[in-house]
Amino acid sequence: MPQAPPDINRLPCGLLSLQQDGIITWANGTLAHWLEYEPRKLPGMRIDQLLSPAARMFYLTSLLPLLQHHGHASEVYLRLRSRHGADMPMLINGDVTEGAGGKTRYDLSVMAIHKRHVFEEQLLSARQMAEQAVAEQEKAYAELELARQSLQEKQDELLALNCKLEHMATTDSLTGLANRRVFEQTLSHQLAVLERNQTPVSLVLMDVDHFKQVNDTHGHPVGDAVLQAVATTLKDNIREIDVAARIGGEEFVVIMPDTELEEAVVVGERLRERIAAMTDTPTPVTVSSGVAEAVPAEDVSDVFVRADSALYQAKADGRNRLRKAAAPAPR
Amino acid sequence: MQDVIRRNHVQTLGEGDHTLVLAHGFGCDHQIWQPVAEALAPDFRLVLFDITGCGQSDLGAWDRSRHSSLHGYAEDLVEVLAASSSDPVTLVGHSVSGTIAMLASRKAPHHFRQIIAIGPSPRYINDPPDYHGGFEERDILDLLDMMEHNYFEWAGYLSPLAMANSHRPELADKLRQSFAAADPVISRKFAEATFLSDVRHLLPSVPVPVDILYTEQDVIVPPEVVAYLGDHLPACRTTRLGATGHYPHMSNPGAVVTGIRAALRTDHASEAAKD
Repeated sequence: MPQAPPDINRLPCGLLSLQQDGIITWANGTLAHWLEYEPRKLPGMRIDQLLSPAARMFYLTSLLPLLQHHGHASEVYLRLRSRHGADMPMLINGDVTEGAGGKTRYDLSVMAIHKRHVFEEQLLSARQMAEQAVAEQEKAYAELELARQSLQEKQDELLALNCKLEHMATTDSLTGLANRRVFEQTLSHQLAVLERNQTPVSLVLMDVDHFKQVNDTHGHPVGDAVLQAVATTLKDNIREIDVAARIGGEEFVVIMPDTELEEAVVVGERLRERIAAMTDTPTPVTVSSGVAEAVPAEDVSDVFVRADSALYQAKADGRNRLRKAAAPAPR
Repeated sequence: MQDVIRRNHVQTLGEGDHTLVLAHGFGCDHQIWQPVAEALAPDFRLVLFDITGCGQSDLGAWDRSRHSSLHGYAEDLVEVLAASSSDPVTLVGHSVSGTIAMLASRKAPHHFRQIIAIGPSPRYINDPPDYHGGFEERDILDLLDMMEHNYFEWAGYLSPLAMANSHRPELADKLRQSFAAADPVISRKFAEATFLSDVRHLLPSVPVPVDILYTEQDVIVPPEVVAYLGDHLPACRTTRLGATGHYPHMSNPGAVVTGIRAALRTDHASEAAKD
């Protein structure tokens, strides 16, 4: 059964018509009521008057371009300002139509969304909190990464320091040869190998002749240069498996694993000759040498003492020569 | 160079020895120039483009960090000019594009012959007691808040996917096409870069002549701002158009065309020399 159409001024929806220049041409009673205006007051007013400064900007930069470019706007959130200055959240749909005299007109339907607005506010703040949490998490990660990097750097430094200490603990700083500690460890190890495998080991003990005179006559720097030159000659004339060490002021030793006495004598002679033939030292240098091959059950001290005796014999026989150690006395 | 053409959807039309580059403002794209471009095309070579993040520009080229301030947009503009004209151009910039052009002219003066800025502002927020920009900071934050609320109308905006890829909500692709400002996050960030900007300290070093065209009843740019620009730009002329509102090129394109032609005709250098 046909009924009279509903009263447009009482529909639960705000309706508003505008000219292109923003002048309101018509508004329904519902909208006027929401905005606390008398219905007849709205026509002739500018839309600006229903908008806060922010809403004006939004209207100009968002809603209006939609209407102008696309002919319609849907579900645009905008706050309309009541006569008493309250900003009321609204959802707006808009269409562009031909008005009287072919003039472009914007028709807007306006829905108050107070409850939804509160809900959205909560969602928005939840999202902002989530974003903030993510940002904080990223920040924490960045800090953690920084801490990790700094730890890594510290570890690298420690490693470098350890290497340096290790080097310092095993190396004679003047000549770069192994030091006495390494000599003793290496010889001890080789004696154990001899004990177990009957693999021979020999050592050549050398002492620079008249070194005290070199120091006294030419000074310590020259003395140091002599020691360095001897070390270099030793390094250059031994095998990879041999270990050369400086074990006292002007006392050097070469441990020769897997080497019997006669072979060690050949090497010892060669070393002595090469040292005597050195031309890059400020003063001529010779060494006296004692060579010994270890026998099973000897300890470091035993074999060293025998080599040392041979060395003294070489000194006594006129220096710049090599003497073989006597076999150990039977026990 | 081809990348820039694609990135900013650069188009060239019209005939003439003199190139005018038309740069749109916040909230719109190159289409807003259509009535003005139609009137100028017979006499000038016209270059139109979309600001990165707007219209048909490559949204993927929008960079959160580069485009967090107007300087990033100015760098884009310099690249557009380099790619679209070998000779210095006259840049016609609406609203924020007028400001962007001033920044760009400091970076690359050789690309500019003249700037014609329609309704620009070096700072929107009041800075009492000496500067009246027209808005309180609260107003701008309110605007950003309102923009934020409008993102709710985007399907899936709150979905985890959209959250994880908030710079590129692919889900909303269809909806996006119905918006002048293509991506809500980009648009919101552009609004921040624009309405929170303050380039007043750079005005004295703008190296090219500037014509400011302004209107009555511009709710975005009050007359005080126009006067401020006139006082602080080294070579500046301000001209009131016979039009109203912030979008005279839409509401009264004829007046804007007249304003542009007048600004081009007069010898700016001799005018500026009088100051």
